[in-house]
Amino acid sequence: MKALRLHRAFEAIWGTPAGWRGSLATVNHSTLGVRLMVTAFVFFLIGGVLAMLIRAQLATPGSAFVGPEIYNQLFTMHGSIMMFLFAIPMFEGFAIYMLPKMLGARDLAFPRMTAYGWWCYLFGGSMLLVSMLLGIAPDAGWFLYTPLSSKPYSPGINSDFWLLGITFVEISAIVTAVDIIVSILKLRAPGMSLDRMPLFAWYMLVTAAMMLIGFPPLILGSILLELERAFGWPFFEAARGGDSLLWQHLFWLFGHPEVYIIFLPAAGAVSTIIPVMARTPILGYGWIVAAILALGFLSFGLWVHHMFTVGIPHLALAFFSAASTLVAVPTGVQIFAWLGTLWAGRPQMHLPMLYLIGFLVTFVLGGLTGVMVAMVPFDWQAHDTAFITAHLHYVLVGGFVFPMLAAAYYWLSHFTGRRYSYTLGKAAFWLIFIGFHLTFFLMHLTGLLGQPRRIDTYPEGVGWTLYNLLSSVGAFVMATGIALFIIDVLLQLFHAPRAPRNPWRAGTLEWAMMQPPPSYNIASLPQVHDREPLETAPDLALSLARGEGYLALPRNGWRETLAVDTKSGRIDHIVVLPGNSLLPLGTALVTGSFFLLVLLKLYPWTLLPLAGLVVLGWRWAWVLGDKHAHGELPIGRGDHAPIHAEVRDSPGWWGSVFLSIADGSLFAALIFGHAYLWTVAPNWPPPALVTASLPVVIAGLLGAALAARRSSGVTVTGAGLGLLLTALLLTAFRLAPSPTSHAYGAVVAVLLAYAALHAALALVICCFARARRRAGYIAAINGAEPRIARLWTDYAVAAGAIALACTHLPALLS
Amino acid sequence: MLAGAAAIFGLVCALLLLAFRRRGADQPVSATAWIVGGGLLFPIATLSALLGYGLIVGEQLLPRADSATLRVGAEARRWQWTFTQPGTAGPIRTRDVLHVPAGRPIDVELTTRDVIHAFWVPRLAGKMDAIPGRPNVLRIEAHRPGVYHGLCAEFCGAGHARHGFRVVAHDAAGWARFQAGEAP
Amino acid sequence: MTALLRAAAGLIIWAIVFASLYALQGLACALGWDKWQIAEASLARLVLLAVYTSGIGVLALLCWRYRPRVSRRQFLDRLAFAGAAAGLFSLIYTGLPVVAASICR
Repeated sequence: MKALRLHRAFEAIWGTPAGWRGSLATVNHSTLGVRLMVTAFVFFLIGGVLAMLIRAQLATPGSAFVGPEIYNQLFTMHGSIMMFLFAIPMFEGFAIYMLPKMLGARDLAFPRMTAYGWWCYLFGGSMLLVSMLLGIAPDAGWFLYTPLSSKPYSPGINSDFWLLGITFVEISAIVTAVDIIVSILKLRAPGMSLDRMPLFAWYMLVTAAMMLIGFPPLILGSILLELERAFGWPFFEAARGGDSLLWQHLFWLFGHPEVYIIFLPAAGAVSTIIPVMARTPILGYGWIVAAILALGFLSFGLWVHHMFTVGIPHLALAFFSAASTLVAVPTGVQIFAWLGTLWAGRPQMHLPMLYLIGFLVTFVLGGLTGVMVAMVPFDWQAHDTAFITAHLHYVLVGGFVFPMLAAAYYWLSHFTGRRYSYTLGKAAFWLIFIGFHLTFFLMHLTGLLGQPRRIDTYPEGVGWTLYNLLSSVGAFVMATGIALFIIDVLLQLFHAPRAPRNPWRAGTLEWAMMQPPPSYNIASLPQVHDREPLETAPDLALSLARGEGYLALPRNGWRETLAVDTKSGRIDHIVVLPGNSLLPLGTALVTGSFFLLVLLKLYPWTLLPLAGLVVLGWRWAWVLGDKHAHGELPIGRGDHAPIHAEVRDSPGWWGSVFLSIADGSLFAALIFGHAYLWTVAPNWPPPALVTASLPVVIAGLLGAALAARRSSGVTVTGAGLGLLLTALLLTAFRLAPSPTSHAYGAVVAVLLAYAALHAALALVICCFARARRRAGYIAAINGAEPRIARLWTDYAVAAGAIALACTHLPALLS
Repeated sequence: MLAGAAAIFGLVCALLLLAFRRRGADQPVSATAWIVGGGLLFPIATLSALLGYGLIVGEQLLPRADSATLRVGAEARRWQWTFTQPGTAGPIRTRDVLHVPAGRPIDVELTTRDVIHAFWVPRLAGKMDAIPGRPNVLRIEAHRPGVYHGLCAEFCGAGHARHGFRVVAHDAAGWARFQAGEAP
Repeated sequence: MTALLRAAAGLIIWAIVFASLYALQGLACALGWDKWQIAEASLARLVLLAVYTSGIGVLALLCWRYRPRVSRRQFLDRLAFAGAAAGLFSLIYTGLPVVAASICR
């Protein structure tokens, strides 16, 4: 029984110790993926209860169920919870659980980051829940438009809860996105070249990349609005040179890609399930990959269609109207690829297929109304009416909830190892489907009859009464369906008989393991020759369990998995992953205390958690690695490979690259904000510009040049960074106008603070690299660490130079 | 647009239904035919036509200089509308009621005292936001005399649902009386 | 990694030109370029048209460089061409309004 012996040996390395300490310290992706999904589902239920309360209020005209103050909290929290605390974490959890299994790896690239992401999400989400329990939940809409959300019109703490809680959750989204991208690009089974990757991995690759570009503008917007609320820096206040439209731009720059960020993972599940249900390979794999890529980019060209009524010139509207219709083309490609696959095969009407039909019908309707509202003249009527509410629920419930329910039934036996019963899930489907369409189809009509969004009450006799009542009835029917779904899942969790392995006879690698999966996923890594390894080798699971693949021999107690060349899937190196640790929880707690202190307005105290984060970050990177080289190690099947600490493009390097891209997106959004205010905001030019000083600029640029030189040692680099930092601080504290005087001063202060923060960060990283080399760590000598330090130094140099130019040049030129 | 959308929806449903009915038909399915035909050419053709039409209509709806137009100011605040327009004896201000002549284009200049609001009279025109620091102009026209209901379409806080107003479109005689300052 | 960058190149260029068109439109109106008539068109329209057509030129060139050839039958080569073609078509389609739509109204 070689398989059993291997199982015990790997379980000892990868398993989570029993007890509460093990649960707090675990970094296992299966455990964390399930935790994310369960937490997200709980938030879904909470958001659903809020929706029921909204429908109860709107069921009758002139209702006195809740007052406008409470009602505003209800719909604000419903939207925020469903978007930020349900949809995003749900697909993240699904991807965290599923990706390594589909790619033939044992875990994600950054297991401790996975855990940190979950803790951040849990704490940030809890902050919002607490605000709701205290009756001081955010109440300015999920889009938090200024100036309604600014201090004068929202003096309470409500909006602060939103800004800080959501930013906290977004941090989790960013680190998860980096985790996912690097895992897809590097941590695959040998032989899995890009064109042999399961489609779901392509979908998640594009989704995660979109998160890196799309989320930072919202994080920036939230920081700016919190600064305005806390310290009176007038970014969005027209009287002092700000512009409330800047908030709308930053918000929708995130908000529209967000819709596709939610849709793509669900579409990835659809593209995985449909071919299995139709018993044929997917039609047009290459077409679908091209469509996903196009969708990823085009979805960034739509954001202004949320702003068709703010008084933007017709040409600008026309650009975004055109892009909004164009985005239907790659979506159409996917829909016809799915329909074609069904035609090509012999589709079987299993339960997941039923939910997928619900998805297709609902989503196509949502897409068609989407094209309608992309037409500017139509939108001028439909904008901010119940028609839009209907449209967005067709797209999001149709495009996300139905596919995720299909996925739940498709993969349920993977999670539980049990077979599902049929009848209850079918009844749940019909209740959800009928309830949904009853609720939201009618909203199209009430919208066209002139019912605006976000009203807590409406008069009798304008013709909306009956439709609203029926909508509310539908909502409760749908809720019953969801309740039935929960009962069904619980029943199968505890009562269903054991399922056979790979019950659907699917071809992807996640079925080549025990169900439920062991902590290490697979006892050895397969060599992949095509897109559906299980199609050609149905017994792969057994042969992997017997250790006939790569890395079948546990050694040194290491958690090993393989990294491959991105394009070809050739073996590149062994990745030794970190084990269970309390660091993620500790770091998340310190991060959380920072947000809590800001929320409580105890600003001086925030320096404490910031210092704590530096210490923990240092520790985080320090605990890894060895002081002696291992060279090429055997990996089985006659192959050898070095470990990641001894190669220059380790996952850590790629993680830094993608994190710096997200950071760059935030900086670009900041520069955009600066340029935007300068050109179009009312009440410009500002009363005073930065007092330009050539010596300061020259000193700063000299420092930047010193730090940027490849040949200089750590001391010179450090001195250069120090000089740059001094120039930035001098500009901020001696030469710049007060941040409260005008939006110009506020933007300049943020630019300088951003650059100074990065210069300081690069200094810390350089010190770290030097200390590691002194201590004799291999990764700091032969590995990626010097390269990572160089990357962040270069980034700080670029940011510093740009900030100096942006602040001094206008004054020098005028 | 509605008929087109219904037709496309019908087509997709029919294809879906037939996929299940068709089981066992053995001709191979061509990826190019499905994806290029259904996924590329079909939507591109439909959408281009629709977009072109939408943009032309959009251009026609823009407020253009025209001697016949009447210009009125609409100032929104929480939760009230104040309208200002020229009368025979100096400017006339009205609260929550906008008086206009029927059959003449009106340019409404939108401003706000506090947060963002949106001016919307569903039967007269589309909507336009009133944004701090950025006056917007919306063209409306009432073809027949009568009373039209208007409302604030942008969420503006606790009184949002009650932030409505009326537009009274007068015939020639009524309009002359209003301009002369007589109560309508 | 470069293979993936090539696959996205056409769409990245689309994104850059699309953003530039939108930014230039805002700038042109802020600077009043729509009031300077040159021949039949305003300065604003001429600038936008110049950016639009040169963007199309760059993308057409990219399509030509990535064109399908016998030596390039690999998946990522075809993906690079598809990306370039998608970028080209997207730019032609989304930028077309610069020909006629009202620039500053």
